[in-house]
Amino acid sequence: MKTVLLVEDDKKITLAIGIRLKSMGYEVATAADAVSAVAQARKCKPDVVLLDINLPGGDGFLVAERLQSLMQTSATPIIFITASKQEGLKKRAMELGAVAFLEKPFDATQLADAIEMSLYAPSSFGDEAMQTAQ
Amino acid sequence: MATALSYDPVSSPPVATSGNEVVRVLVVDDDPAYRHLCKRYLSRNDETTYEVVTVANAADAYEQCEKSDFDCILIDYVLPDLMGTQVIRNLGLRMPKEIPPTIIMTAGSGEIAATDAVRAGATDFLSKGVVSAESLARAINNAVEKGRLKQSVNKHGRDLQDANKQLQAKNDEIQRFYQSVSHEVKTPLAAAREFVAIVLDGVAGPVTDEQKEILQYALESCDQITSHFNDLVEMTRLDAAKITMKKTLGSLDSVVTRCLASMASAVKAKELNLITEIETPLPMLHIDSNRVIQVLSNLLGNAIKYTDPGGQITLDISHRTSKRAVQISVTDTGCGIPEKDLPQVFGRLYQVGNTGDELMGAGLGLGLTIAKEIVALHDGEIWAESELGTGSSFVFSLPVAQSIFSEPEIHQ
Repeated sequence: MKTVLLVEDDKKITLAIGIRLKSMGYEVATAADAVSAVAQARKCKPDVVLLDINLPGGDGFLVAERLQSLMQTSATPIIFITASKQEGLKKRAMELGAVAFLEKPFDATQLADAIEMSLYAPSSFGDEAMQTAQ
Repeated sequence: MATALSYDPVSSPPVATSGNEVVRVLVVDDDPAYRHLCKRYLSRNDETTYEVVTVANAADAYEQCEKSDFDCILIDYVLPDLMGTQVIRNLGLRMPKEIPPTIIMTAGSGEIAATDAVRAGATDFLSKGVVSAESLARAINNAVEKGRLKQSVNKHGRDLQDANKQLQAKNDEIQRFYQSVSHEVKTPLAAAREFVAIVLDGVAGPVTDEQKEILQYALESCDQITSHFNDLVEMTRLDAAKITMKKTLGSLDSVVTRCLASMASAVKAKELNLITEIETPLPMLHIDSNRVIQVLSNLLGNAIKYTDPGGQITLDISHRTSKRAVQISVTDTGCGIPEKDLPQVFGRLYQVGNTGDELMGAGLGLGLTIAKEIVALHDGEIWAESELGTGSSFVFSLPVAQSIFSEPEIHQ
């Protein structure tokens, strides 16, 4: 069974996405801030990381960079999630090689598609991935 | 009658300083007779009280200026060890704040001296030979007045700069506030939506058809809130964008490509026929690409939303040479807009009338208002044409980039 690491500081969102992911058949690990996100990733070695950009103790981009620099997690696909419509966020996500970028609120289909794509077609990084994830 | 020679082409009338005022004057001249003369002339004055300090050389002048403030400094053009103009320059370097108005006095007549005085930054220039008590006082008063005016203008400039800085800071603060509020609202909204979706999809247990229908309404309400909230935040951001819009020279090519790509699936889903008629070559434009994409996406989105399946949408882009602008139009074969509503279509309160589908939601939202703002910020125009039952056409123009070449077109 594949594991998804959900990094999100809001408890309710974590709960909602957690229920949804479990119903899709994934094992779910969670972390609520930047530091424990990296620790959790090293511990449970997830198949994909769902990473909120707004985090206490450092933003999602920092976490992504850290994960990419560690051997155990450097190949783990990352999906960024955010509530913000700030321009430039998506660009930065792409530059970091994220598989997808989801804007809250997103629906179950978008989430499922993004995760499937990251698990089974990780080479399809880039613009196309971004488009379909919208 | 002796008059002071002023380099100011618009000669200012002499100004009398108010009776109670004390005007402090420093006279720098190596000729003791002239120093004495100045003192005598100025002490005779009934209207103004002059406090005169005299020195014979530059070093003493610097010392005096350090010790106290003067309203005006009279300097001999030729001093024993250096030129009067050099004294002015030195004072400018030595003194922490701006030097008081200065008047260069010369024994000769003197175009050269006059030019020199102006170049050195002297306020005025006097010919010693023709000076009288009145003309001396007048020259000093004029210089003092000019000095005050200059100070006032400088202060005004500084005040404006400060006000501007404050406004910028306030603007940044407001933007951060909206970012924060946006996040605070969207997060629980996303959670609520997802919880409703979870129950609706049967993940939390079996749901009856009636419950499904009710939850579906709740879901759509969530989506409407999201959409309107996004528009609201966008409107507030646009006010800031008036200061931060990033325009660069570019073509509409990438704008069109990106818009069409993002609309493709929606067009296909509704089985609409999308026709593009784009003139080539198109001239270069000075645009904020992301914003223009926003406008075009909004128009295309509306066309798709309000056209029945099987209908047609036409995107037409042409260069209106006579208007020096590129015109972009999105035409649909939808239900059209009543003529009386056309003028208000871009307003904030506009709502589409009965569409027959209550679940379609409240009107066009703020999208068109935002589009209008963006087009206006590009110095373009936007308008709508429509015929009930036939369809609508939304058109906007963007001015061609001004260039030094007469032919702005660039072949693609």
